[in-house]
Amino acid sequence: MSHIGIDAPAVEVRALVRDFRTRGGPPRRALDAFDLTVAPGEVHGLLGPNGAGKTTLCKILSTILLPTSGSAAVHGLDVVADAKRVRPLLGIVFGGERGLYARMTAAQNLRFWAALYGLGRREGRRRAAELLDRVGLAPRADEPVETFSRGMKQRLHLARGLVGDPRVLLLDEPTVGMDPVSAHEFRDLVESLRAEGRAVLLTTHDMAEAEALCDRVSFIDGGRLLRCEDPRVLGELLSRHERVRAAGVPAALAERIAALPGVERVRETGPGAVLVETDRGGAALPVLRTLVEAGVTDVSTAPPTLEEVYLHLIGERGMAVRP
Amino acid sequence: MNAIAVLRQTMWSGWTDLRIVYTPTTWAFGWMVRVLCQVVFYSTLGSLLGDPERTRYLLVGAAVFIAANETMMASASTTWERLSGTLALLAAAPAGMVTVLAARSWFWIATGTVSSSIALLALAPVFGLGLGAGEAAAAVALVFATALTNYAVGLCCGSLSLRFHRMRNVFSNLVLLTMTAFGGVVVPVSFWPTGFQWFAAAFPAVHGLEAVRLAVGGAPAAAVLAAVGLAFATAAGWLAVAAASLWWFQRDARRTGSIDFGD
Ligand SMILES: Nc1ncnc2c1ncn2[C@@H]1O[C@H](COP(=O)(O)OP(=O)(O)OP(=O)(O)O)[C@@H](O)[C@H]1O
Ligand SMILES: [Mg+2]
Repeated sequence: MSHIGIDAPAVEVRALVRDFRTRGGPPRRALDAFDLTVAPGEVHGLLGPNGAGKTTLCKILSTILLPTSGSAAVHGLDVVADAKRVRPLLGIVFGGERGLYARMTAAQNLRFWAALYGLGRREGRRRAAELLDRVGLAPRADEPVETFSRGMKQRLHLARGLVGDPRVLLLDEPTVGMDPVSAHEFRDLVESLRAEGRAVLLTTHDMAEAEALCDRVSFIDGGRLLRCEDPRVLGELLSRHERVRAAGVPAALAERIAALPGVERVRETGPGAVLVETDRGGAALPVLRTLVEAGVTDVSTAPPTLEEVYLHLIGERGMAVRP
Repeated sequence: MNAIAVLRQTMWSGWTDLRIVYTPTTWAFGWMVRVLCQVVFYSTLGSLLGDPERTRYLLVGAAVFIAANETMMASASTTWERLSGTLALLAAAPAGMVTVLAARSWFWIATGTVSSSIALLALAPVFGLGLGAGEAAAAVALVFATALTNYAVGLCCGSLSLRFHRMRNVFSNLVLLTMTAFGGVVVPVSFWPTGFQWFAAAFPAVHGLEAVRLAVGGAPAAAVLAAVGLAFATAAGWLAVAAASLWWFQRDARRTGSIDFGD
């Protein structure tokens, strides 16, 4: 272990490019001149829409995919040249229910992976028990995984990712399909990982999750890094661009709402249905009041979508997205 | 790396897979009944021809090839790793995927030996093949050798099935068909033109079957051992190809991205 760069960043990605061959057409660029640095003990969010390149980055870091060009290193070790030494440093967790042996019990699954991460029999047993306890699965340790709920499988996934005592955790949409309670428990777990000094790269579509968990957030789209921000910027964007949806709104009322301060746009989404976009914190409130006073009851608010936040992020600094 | 621990865990994981295929009841009343029917069918053909020699030939051929048949299923079960979505995790683990993929389907060797031996020993008296205790024990040992060596062939097909997933059923079926047709199951290998004989000689199960025939026919031990030796020698070749092919699959996947998270 003496060769591992203790002072080196947990993850350092420079000018990373990955092209995929497509049938007939030109190669598809999944990552484009991507840069990223994650410090030890940092929880770093990677936020981006579908197809942004998040999983591609995780796959390159986990040594199962080669970059087309550029470099990626984990604690100073190159993921291509030093793949063998990188692997023991990493824990990999991806969302969904796959990646577990359904017929084996939770404990057996963990013992299996413990062996693959170089632990002996007794050590593996101990680590498995410890981790099951940590993710709250100890009472179900000896039941086959196929009898588990989705959330329980997710927690087992997380335990599996920790079996090799990794310095860096790659979490690729780990909360997909988790209920809010599980997702909340998951956040506590990530907090404790940070407290143990492990670096976490957390991939997600969920802006609220990124805001709550991360020390820094990188926005990725079309394989490019748009911005790397403090998550508070994200929280501010979320509240500033809150939206109001309403049905049964007469045209005259819609016009009145459009004239309210802080209302950016009123879009008609169907006959009498509107979507009000705001661009100032607190602007949603007078919109709601006006609607309710006019007798409209089918009203709801929602945070902006990731795409809208992206547009605002890009718009603010005039950064152009690749076509 | 702690290869023993990896092997032990892998074998356990494979064993739990077997329970997807059979419960003890479905094994006894589904699979074993099928096996016995198949062997009875072939042997009866011999009886109908009124040729006791031919009857015994067919009996041994059909019974021993059950072991080959069953170990060829290693081809399919190698790809089950994709079903559980663990391929990417194996590729990213320090121990790598080759040991796991190579060892996970071992249980077919066990079940193949058992079903093939039961068929041979239970039906031998029915179709006039007298076996002494020593011969019976030798036959079981040689059936095991056949299953063990043919596993390498199944593994080879399995690694190709992983790589060429769309053709996953083609390889093992093609090999099994060739072995059954030219491998001395129904008619002796020497029945076929020389080119085919050479071809048949590449398959361990063909030599394993020959060894069983020699042993139950009372041939000298040296002759039996020579046949077994050929089975292991050819198996070593298949194993080398299988290992190379698994390495190739892993390396290739890294380049093309054909292993995804969740695969
Ligand atoms: N093996 C592959 N072959 C061809 N194209 C690929 C391959 N893997 C990924 N891509 C393409 O690369 C781009 C990035 O995909 P990636 O899976 O990294 O996105 P993502 O950000 O993880 O998306 P999601 O949020 O949907 O998981 C997509 O356009 C995708 O179609
Ligand atoms: Mg993804």
